[in-house]
Amino acid sequence: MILPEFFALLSIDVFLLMSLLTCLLEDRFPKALPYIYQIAALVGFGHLLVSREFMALFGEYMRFWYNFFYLLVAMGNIVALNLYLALEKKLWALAKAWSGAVTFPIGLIAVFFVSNYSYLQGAEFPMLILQLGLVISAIAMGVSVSILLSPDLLNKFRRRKEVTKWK
Amino acid sequence: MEIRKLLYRKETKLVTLLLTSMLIASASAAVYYGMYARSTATVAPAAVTFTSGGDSSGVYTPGTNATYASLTLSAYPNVTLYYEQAVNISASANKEVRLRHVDISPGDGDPSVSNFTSVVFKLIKTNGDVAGTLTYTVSGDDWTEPSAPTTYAAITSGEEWAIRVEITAAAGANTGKSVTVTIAVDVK
Repeated sequence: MILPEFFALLSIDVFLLMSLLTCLLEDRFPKALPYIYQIAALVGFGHLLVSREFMALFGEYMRFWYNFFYLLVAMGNIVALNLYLALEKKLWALAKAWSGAVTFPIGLIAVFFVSNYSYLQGAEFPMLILQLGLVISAIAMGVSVSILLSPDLLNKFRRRKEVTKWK
Repeated sequence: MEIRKLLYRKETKLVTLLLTSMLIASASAAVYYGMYARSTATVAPAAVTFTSGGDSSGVYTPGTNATYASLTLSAYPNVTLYYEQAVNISASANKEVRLRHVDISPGDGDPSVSNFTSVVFKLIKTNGDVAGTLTYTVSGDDWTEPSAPTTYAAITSGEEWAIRVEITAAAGANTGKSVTVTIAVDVK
């Protein structure tokens, strides 16, 4: 069984990962971004400490919602960076790589744990949306991994499409 | 100048961020683990439970999971009634037990208290030795409750001890008067 604070822990790791990735790709992102994400992770750590001290006072319901909100913020940042690369910087290849390597895998992990939590705790959560999210993330991740392992796969697919069009 | 250059190098930034990330991640995981360890509680059967004794018939009503018991006892004027085995306690693991006073009603100052002389609870080991005694006596309309719990006595797994009750009603006590005594069997 997982505690609601698991979502805060997951979000902290997401922020730290984004901090490192934006540092690696520092030419494509604003210079301050890695440090902002480190601060966001530190805020999450403070969040965990507060949650620990007031565990009995806050109650499971409230703890779930504020931890889940923090997870949403982390997920929102991943998607925002993805959109920033695609729309603002017009780096389509990098945006696709980002979605396949970061956005969907983290989305898959987050949706998996949220659906697991809501199933075990009997929380009133839209299970259909969660399961749909899980399936979409899994498919996107599977496709990304396949393309990563054999880059020719995409070219073959394109060629077949062109041949079908000519016929 | 060289130090400034070094500080602005990508590798230096990355290593610094990596180190702080590891620190934050491990500290957060430690806090979460602490919370998890603090909140884990596993339900297990009680190690000491109540069971019927030799005098339990018509007296003892077991509670859910036999972790509490209700006794309906009689008392006669100017007579001490002994329930040798009003209820027994059974241990499924090596534990220590004691008797502790919780509550008695009607309380001090109630005229019906004077209908009783004493109520005594004794914890009797398998070999007949007394492991502890709780004595309630009456002085006027007031109860004199046990000042302290009995000392903890070791009970081994599989042993069954008896709780003996001795009730004495006062000479000329009125019929229908009752007293409710709540005691606890502490287990550690």
